[in-house]
Amino acid sequence: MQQSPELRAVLEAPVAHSAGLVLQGKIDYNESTMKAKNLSKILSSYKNEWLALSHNESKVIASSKSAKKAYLKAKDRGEERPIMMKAPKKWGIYVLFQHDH
Amino acid sequence: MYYFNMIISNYRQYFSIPSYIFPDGRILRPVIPIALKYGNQIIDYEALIDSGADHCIFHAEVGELLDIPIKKGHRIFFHGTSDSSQVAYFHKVKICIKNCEADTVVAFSYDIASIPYGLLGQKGFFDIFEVRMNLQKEQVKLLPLK
Repeated sequence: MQQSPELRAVLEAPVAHSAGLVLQGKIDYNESTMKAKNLSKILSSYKNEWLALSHNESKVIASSKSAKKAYLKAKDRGEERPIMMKAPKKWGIYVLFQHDH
Repeated sequence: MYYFNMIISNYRQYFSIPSYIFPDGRILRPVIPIALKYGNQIIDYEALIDSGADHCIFHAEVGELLDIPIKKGHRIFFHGTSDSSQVAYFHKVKICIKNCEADTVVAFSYDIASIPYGLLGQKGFFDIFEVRMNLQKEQVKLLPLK
């Protein structure tokens, strides 16, 4: 995936856009609608179990204590590419460091 | 400024009890949907962009869905804000974000059950993407570096 400086310059060239909608390239983006996706409503009733979300993250398709069961249940219910996440017992803040032993 | 190959996503909002720091109970985090590939398997997953993490770490259960032999990977110990030591195993996977796909090495752990998503850290993510997070606009912009 090495890119020459010339190619990179082309790839990084600003894309023309108007009224928040990019006109070329792969971006399909409207700035006016680009706010945080609110997952709080669909997640609020789940605790300490695996969730398989719809591909647009609009609803929970399946849940289970087992990730595999949640995933397979969602597939059975017609969600071809469920998005997996784990509903925790409670939300927290985490910072990771590695140590050598 | 927008670039041809830039990936744009938005923050995710999670619930919280209103508090001194978050009086409206609205917590925004730079969580993005990613896909992990291993062999012929592909799994979609939520992951937090975490510049404080030295490397990427994902739930081992997600690795199992990819048919990765988790405990055969290179073992490391890590810790978070507490002193308790946790175990993870490194494996090579492909990470896919929208149309961008890259080979990377990430850790899988059975010890991160208390967090809802994977963590995208310095090694394995920030060395692949230039990352721009804008909380005010609630946007994440990723520019592939390779």
